[in-house]
Amino acid sequence: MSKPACSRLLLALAALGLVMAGGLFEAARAQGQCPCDSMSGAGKASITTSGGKASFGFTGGVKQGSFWGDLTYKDYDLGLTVEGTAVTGYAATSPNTRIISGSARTNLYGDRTYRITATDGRTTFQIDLDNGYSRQGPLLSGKITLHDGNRKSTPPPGYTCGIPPDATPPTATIVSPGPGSTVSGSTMVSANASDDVGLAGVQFELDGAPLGAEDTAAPYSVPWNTATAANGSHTLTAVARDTSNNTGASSPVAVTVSNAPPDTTPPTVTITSPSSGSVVSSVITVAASASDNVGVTGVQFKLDGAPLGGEDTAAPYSASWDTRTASNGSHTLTAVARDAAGNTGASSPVAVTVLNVLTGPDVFVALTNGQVQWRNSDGLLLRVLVGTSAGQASSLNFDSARNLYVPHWYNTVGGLPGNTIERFDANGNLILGTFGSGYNCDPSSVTFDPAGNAYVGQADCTGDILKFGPGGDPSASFDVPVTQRGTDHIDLAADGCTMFYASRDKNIYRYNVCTHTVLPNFNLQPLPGTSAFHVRILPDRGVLVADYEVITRLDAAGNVVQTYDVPSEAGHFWGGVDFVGDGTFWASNGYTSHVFRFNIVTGAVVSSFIASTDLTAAGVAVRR
Amino acid sequence: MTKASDARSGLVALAALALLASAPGASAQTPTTSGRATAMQATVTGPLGPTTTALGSTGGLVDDGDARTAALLTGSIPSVGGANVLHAATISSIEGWNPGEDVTSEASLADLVLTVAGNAISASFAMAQARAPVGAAATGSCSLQELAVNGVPIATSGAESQTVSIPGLRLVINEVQRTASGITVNGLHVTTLDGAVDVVVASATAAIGQ
Repeated sequence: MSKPACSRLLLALAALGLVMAGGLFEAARAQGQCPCDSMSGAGKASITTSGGKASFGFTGGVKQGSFWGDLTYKDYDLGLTVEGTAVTGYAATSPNTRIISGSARTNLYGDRTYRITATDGRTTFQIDLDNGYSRQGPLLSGKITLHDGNRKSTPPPGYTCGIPPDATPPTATIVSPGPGSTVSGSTMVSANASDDVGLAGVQFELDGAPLGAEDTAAPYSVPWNTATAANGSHTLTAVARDTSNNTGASSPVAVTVSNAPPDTTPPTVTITSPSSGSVVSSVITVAASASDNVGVTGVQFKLDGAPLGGEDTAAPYSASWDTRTASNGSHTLTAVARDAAGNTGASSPVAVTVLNVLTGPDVFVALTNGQVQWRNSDGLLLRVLVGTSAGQASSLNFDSARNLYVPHWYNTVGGLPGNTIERFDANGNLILGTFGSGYNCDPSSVTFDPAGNAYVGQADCTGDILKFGPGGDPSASFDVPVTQRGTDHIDLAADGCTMFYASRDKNIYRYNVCTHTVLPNFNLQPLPGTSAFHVRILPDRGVLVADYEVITRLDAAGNVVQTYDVPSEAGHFWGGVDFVGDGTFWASNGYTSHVFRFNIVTGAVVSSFIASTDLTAAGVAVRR
Repeated sequence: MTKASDARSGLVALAALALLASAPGASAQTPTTSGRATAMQATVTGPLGPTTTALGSTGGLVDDGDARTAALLTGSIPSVGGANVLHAATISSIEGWNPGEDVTSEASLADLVLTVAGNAISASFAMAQARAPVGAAATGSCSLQELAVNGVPIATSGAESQTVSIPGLRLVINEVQRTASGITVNGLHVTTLDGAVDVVVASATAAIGQ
């Protein structure tokens, strides 16, 4: 549809409903303008609030210098019928709305004049008779269509084609927030709007300034962050714009903005437990009290600056700390409280000392002066066992009666014997004397078979493995292949036949002492360290090796599966190793004489002690 | 009332209907417009041959400057049935043969009551529309309210040419016939299987062609 609408005068008259068809077109004729197009429609409409219906069909327009069209109408409620007999007028009240007037014959009111008001595409229909009969309502079915004119759509004499522009502004009403509302935070401002032709959009305004962009589609609304406005009274307005750019503003809606000032105050927090200077062990609860001017959202505890568990979001604020996951020694606890605005406040640090006493069997340390340290499972020195030999105590082992065997290398200190093995009873008394004989060079390690026979590895000279009966009588000698340092360290497998031994190179050798047979090396790949010292077979048939630069663990198939080290340790001379049986093992550093207890799975150091500051810790053994 | 400014409305008996009318003197190269709308039409074949009766028919557009309308408050066709508020219009909006200009036709009626081959057919309202725009394909639509056959409601699917068959009778709802130049939409087309009765309710045709 491209034709413009009829005059404003007609619009006003029609809107007021004061003038019926004849009068309307008298006015139109006086105006001298008329839309040169046509409108048709048909349908069934609901014309009363009680559900009364009417059927209609109509046409109107101009054609070859005349008004043109027809009408047929039936009101089922009243039984009224209206038959148009002539169209006498055709006018516009908007670009899309037409008024068709004419004369008609009715069955109830005789001959009347009528007026049809309809809008292109709209689903309402209105009919008025000059006797006061007036009905309008929504279409239940059917359609109303405005048609462009054609070359023969010429107006009646005295008229020209032309339609005044749409001058009717749209209307708008703010529906939310309501007048006098108090608003805060983010809220939606919404409005209803309508126009006789069509709406283009609604622009909301706050105190006369645009609030967001124009909303071009119903339902009309705009989000409003009230925090952007000062607290106090403000005025909201919705300005509707129609497709002809007419605008209509809603009644202003006064609202009160009431937002709390921004929270910039950080919360405070204090660790209430443990107290500073506490010595803690096992699992403890770290607790804190926190407060904030608005509210505490959560408290995050930290251990040495790292989060300790997750944030506790509800008072009383606490976290569980398994101190065994930290090394023994000094640590710092802090708590950081957070509020909803994101402010944070940290507590004063609380220094505590972790001191966990690990349970487990005692550990023995072999020193190069021939002495042996007897320590509890926490590394606390219990006794120093002093024998008669000053030859280096290279390693240690226990027989089934828990007696301690200490092999000594050649004596390097004058006056005291070497090249021997001394025995201490389970109480650490040197009452059993020496064990075995015939050591030609530096007995270095002892192991036992299930029958109580003892095997001794020798680091130097022949490097043969010697076998002794339980009483120490020599029974066999095994001339096994060696490389760097004989059979420095040996360990017998649970089968009582397979002897594992190291010769201070990158292999773990095996020899069957039952069949006197050389077996393939245990390790499938060269060991990562440069010099294998002590070897200990694990319960899972894997092997721990004090492998000089690192401690190496191999699985039962001989694959290297893990290495252990303490990066801060000097020298990295790992020479002694023995497992505890609880998932940990002890290892000694021959360079620093520091002894560490490792978690065999995680590699973490769980405990340590310093065996000596002037002697070398040559080996360790655990009396399981 | 049988009136319209220049429509052949009312009870008109036609031996044959010319569906399309061309502008006098139009050359083969000149675009032509065609339009027609009929509220109701029945063809009954009797001993003397077929007789066609149309109620509320606009007749065909004469040329692209034509517009035609027809209206009847009530109308009936003997031995077939009748309706109220019959309305038909066909309007050319062609001025310069510009895209978007069109020919539109619409036909409607209310309170339809037919008796065909002993079957009662009724509808509270029927309307068909056809539009043939310049430079685009013709389109049509149909509205049929409260259609019932022998008192049994018939649901309209909205699909083109929805067919309902009952003994001795065939109903086609929203019957659409397309041609190279336009479209015809029949709101309801009822025929007896022996061809003796053919009733078209709310028929609108619009076409633009060479």
